[in-house]
Amino acid sequence: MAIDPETFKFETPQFDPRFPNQNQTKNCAQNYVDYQKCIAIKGEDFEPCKIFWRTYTSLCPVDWVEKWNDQKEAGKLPFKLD
Amino acid sequence: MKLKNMTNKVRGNMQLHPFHLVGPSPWPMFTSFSLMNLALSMALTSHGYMGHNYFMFLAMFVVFYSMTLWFKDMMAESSYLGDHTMAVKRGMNQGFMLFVVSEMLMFVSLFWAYLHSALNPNVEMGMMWPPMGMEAMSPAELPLLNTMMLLASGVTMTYAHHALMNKDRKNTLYGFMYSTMLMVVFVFCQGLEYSFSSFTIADSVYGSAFFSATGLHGMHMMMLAMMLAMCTWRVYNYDFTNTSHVGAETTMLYLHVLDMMWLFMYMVMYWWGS
Amino acid sequence: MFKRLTQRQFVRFNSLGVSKHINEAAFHPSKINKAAGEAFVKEYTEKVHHSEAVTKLWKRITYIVAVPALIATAIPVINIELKHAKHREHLAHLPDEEWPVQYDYQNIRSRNFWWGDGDKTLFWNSSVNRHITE
Repeated sequence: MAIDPETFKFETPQFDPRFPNQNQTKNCAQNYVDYQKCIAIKGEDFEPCKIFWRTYTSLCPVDWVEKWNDQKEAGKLPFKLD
Repeated sequence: MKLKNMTNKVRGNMQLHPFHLVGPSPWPMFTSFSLMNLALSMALTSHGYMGHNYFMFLAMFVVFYSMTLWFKDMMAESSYLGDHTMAVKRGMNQGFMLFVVSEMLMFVSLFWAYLHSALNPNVEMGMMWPPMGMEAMSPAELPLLNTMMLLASGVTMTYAHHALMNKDRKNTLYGFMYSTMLMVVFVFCQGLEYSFSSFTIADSVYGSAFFSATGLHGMHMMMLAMMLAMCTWRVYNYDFTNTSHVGAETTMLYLHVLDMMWLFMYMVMYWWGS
Repeated sequence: MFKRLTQRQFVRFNSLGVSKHINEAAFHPSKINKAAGEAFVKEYTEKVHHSEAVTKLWKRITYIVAVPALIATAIPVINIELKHAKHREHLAHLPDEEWPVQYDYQNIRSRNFWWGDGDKTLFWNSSVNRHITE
């Protein structure tokens, strides 16, 4: 997803009561999973999916996302996406 | 035996306390060296310093050999020399209980390892337990039969115990033989279950924790089968009396404790964890 | 030395020669606790007597409860296992491409095992376990 510097608003995700701990690893992973599920059903342009994208890009280290994307390409992503 | 006729002259030939002061014996030293030999050869073999495993098997053989010699001496002291008074027997039972407690704590650590990974499965394994793509064993199949066999062994053990206390040789022998057979079949079925398993000990923390815990239990079961076979043999040889059978008592305690351990393991690792 | 100390024996000799108590009874009749002895014997005989009925009970439980329960469990389990055996037969001939995906945490080999060919774990069964390397 390309970022337009004109319209981009710098936001961090709000508090999520499912992940009340300081360690936000699972929040990151869950939002990555939810995003994958969302776009699998609704397509990448579906606006409500973007909340997940914004959350995980904000929370996850880049190399985690890269690793997951590589695993997904190889069909080895260890998450249930259905 | 009429004690009232015993004079001080005769009494003076006997010890004035009920404890058994063991004579000089080579077995503690021999066993220590053989155990050190086993530890060293296992470590060196598994880290690839040996290139073969003959030393490891030799060390294992020597450990079993030293155990056999030491236990042989103990059986002679108890059955033939009469060194095992009531106080000595109490002491040995207490010592065995301490051993059982330490064993329990070893199992606690493995349960801890399992539950640590299972209660909050990490992101690398897909945040689920068992991890993505791993097929847990079904608790309603062979493990259920194993559970039934262990429950049945508890029953046959109690049968043997009461028959032993009742000086009922035939039923004691039957009870011990049934228990031994159940243990042997249990170990066999566990071996089948392991070789049919779709995952191995090298498949994620699930495989590691599962096989470490059930494997440790399985090794204890092999030991228990040997202990029960020994008990059967000793009953057959008239080694036990209805009041003096520490070997049988410790074996029974061990069997019940390991049965309970299996029940926990079955409930947590096979049932809840699948 | 310690054995000598701990197994202190009755002093047979003193400076005057043999102790004058040497031929006296070691346990004076007045010191013998007869009640305790009888209680011990009573407890012993009661235990033996009591365990007769208990033996019968557990013998019955063995044959009437444990054996049928074992058989009742064994029959369905053996049937299921035979079914699984057929499934394993099928799995053994599956090509590598159709084998389920191996995730990164599966088949971990940080170095060779020291047994066999170095790749197979203990209890390895090639019809259900496969280590696919590209």
